[in-house]
Amino acid sequence: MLNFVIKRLLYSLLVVIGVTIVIFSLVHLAPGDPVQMMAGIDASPEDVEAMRAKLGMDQPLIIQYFNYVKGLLRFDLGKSIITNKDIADEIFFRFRNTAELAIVGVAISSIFGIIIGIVAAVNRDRWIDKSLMALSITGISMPSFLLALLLMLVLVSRLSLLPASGRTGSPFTAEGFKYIILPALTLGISGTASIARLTRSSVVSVLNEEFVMTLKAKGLQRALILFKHVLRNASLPILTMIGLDFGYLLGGSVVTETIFAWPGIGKYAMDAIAQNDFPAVQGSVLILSMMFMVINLLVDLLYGILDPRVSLK
Amino acid sequence: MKAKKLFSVVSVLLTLVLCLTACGADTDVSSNGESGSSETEYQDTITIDLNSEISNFDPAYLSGVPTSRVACFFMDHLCYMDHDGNIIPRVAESWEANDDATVWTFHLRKDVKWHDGTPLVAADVKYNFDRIIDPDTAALRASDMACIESVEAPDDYTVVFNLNTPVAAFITKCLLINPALLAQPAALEEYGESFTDHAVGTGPYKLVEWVPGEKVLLEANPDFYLGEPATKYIEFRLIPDGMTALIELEQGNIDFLFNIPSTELGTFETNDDITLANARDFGVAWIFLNTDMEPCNDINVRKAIAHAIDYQTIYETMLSDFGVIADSYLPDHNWAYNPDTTKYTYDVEMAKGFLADSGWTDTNGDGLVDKDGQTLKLEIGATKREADNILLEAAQSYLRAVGIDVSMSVLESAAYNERLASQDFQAYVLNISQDSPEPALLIDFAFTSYAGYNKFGYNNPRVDELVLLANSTADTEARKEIYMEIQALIKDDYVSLPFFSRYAQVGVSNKVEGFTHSAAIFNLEQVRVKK
Repeated sequence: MLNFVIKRLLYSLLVVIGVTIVIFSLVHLAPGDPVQMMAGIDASPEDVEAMRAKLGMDQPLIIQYFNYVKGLLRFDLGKSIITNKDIADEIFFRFRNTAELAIVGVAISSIFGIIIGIVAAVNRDRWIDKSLMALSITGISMPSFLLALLLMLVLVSRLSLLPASGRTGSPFTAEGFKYIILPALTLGISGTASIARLTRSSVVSVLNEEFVMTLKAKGLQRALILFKHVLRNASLPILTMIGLDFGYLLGGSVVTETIFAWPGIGKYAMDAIAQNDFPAVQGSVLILSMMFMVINLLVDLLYGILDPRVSLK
Repeated sequence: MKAKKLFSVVSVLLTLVLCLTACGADTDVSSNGESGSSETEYQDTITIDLNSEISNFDPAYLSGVPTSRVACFFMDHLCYMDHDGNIIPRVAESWEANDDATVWTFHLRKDVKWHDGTPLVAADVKYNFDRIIDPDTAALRASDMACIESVEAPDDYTVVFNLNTPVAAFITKCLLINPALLAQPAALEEYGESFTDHAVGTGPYKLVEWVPGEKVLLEANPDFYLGEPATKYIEFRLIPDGMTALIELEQGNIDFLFNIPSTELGTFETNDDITLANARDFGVAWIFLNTDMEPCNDINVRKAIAHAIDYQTIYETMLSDFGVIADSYLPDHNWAYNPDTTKYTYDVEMAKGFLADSGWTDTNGDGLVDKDGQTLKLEIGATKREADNILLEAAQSYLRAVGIDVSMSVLESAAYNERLASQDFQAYVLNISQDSPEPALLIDFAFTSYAGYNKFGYNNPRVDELVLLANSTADTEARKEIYMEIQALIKDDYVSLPFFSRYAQVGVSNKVEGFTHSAAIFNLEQVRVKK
């Protein structure tokens, strides 16, 4: 177990080094000279060079890379060239907002996904199962921007039930909660669909196992069999899926956060890209990649703990 | 049976969620920052959309229209523009220039105070300009102020600018731009790089807070020298998506909308609660032809391109929602507009004739003209702005009809700007916004051989000469004559094709009172919003 963790951590370190190189190269190879963009296309070459020197971007790329890595070792992601704010602070601040969205989104997808999945499984091959699964295929296939706009048109434009965008205070208060519903629903609905499908197939496969037959033969109530025995055995892939879904949502959803003006990490990355704010792009992509790595590692470890048959070697 | 039970659980949960959301909406009385007091007839907050993040409020590094729009509420310029673009007093109550426009003296009001209550004096103004022109500051657009040799403050209320060259349009060119916003020197020194969070100016509003990614909140300045503004707060809400912002306007959650999705203009015709305010902008959308590169280095090719396009039909069928047709480098409502320049009339035969004069004919019958075995190809660059693409697609089909093989390079703005900055397009669409009628801003900045926006290799020594002459001519009528001549010269050189002069558009809630829309300024000092 310990060996496995150490090995995975070492792998992760290699991946982090790789990620910094890739991000740094991508940012510097992408079209558009960030300094020229900041100064404006009509800026004189002298203005552009003065700005470049001020930002330390007149040095060779390799030196800039090492300066960047030196900063990272001190947990310094640098400053945004647009807002002049500390990127690590900004990301930390927005991470909280993204985490709020992820928690509510996953709550929605887990509750509805598991309920729908169980309903479909116990009614296997009946019309209710087929229609729920058709619905979930639609949910999985629908792009989030379309879903977001549909929800907005119905719940905001037509029914005036909810505010369309923004975040006002903590979403765990009555006032703030209204603002999180739409983005969380958008994220939650596609998650619901995939969790429902997975729950259905896991429950169906456990229902087919011999021990279920034995329990039935022993005269146990159907609900007891379903919730105490079947669900517990079917829970491993579902939990993994929920964990991955949560990890994915923690990475911020660029489209959903942008459409609903939710000030999370995905929107921060998007703004940084749109404004050619290259240190912010580097910082946010690095944090997002590391988050994925950590989540994957945790899910792997969780597997071993939940199912002793899985060997962590 | 069990399935039915589960089904009812799901239904109950769904109903619960809907009820919760409905209850939430009922209690939403303060979503627009209303005071909640039943006696007041007006809201205490004006809410405006921001489509991108604030950059930096330090005038030396301030960039981008949204940031500048916000900053102008709490920082002042020495002068101001009225809705027609005329220059009027603000912090400076009067000014004069010497005969050759090289020494400009401004007399400041004596009742202007910084937001912390300390009076604004001439030394503060000198500090701001000295800082911008200091190369160590590396201010953005410092080169726009390169004409300033020195700034003096002979007494507390007089500021003198000594220029190294005559600049008749000094106020518009140098004093109404972002780096000329006045920030409190004490705050600049105390807060340094975090000035954006603590910006102190003299404007009608004070900066209360900037929450990155969310909003900027401003509060009325009760000591504003022109009187306290009518509404207590202004909130700029960051809403990057235009469609979302439009829905917020329809719902009454914002009062002004700048980021209007161009495909949704029809919404304003069907919704009685909101209005689309159109004002004439002073900029023009052009296609520039690069005289430094083939094939547009040949004036016959440029003439052929100019006469091959039916501007009137393109405008009437596709662009009338976006602005007004233009036929010069200044729009027709500019005081220096010349209506008598060479007309680029639509004449296919004439266009083909110009091509033939330079040896471009269709020898192989493929519909495209060629010379020495080479087809006449032209790449035209543009950003993804909708109006630009419409005019480019239309132009492409007209040019194809005379045998020119046009390819469109529609690029993300970063890629477009990089190619533009390195003068890498054979031709390109440029659609710029201009809030001032000062002709120097369009002509000097694009058509002189040394201009920053001259990315099409244009070099007409007579134009350079006339621009210098206009700069040293104080008399408006005489300047008008000069700029009219410049327009005629440029038009005769066939270097750019004017399409339309765009509207400055803003979506306004019908609850807004006292608002006048113009391209020149966005002033909300007398604006109130009904509850």
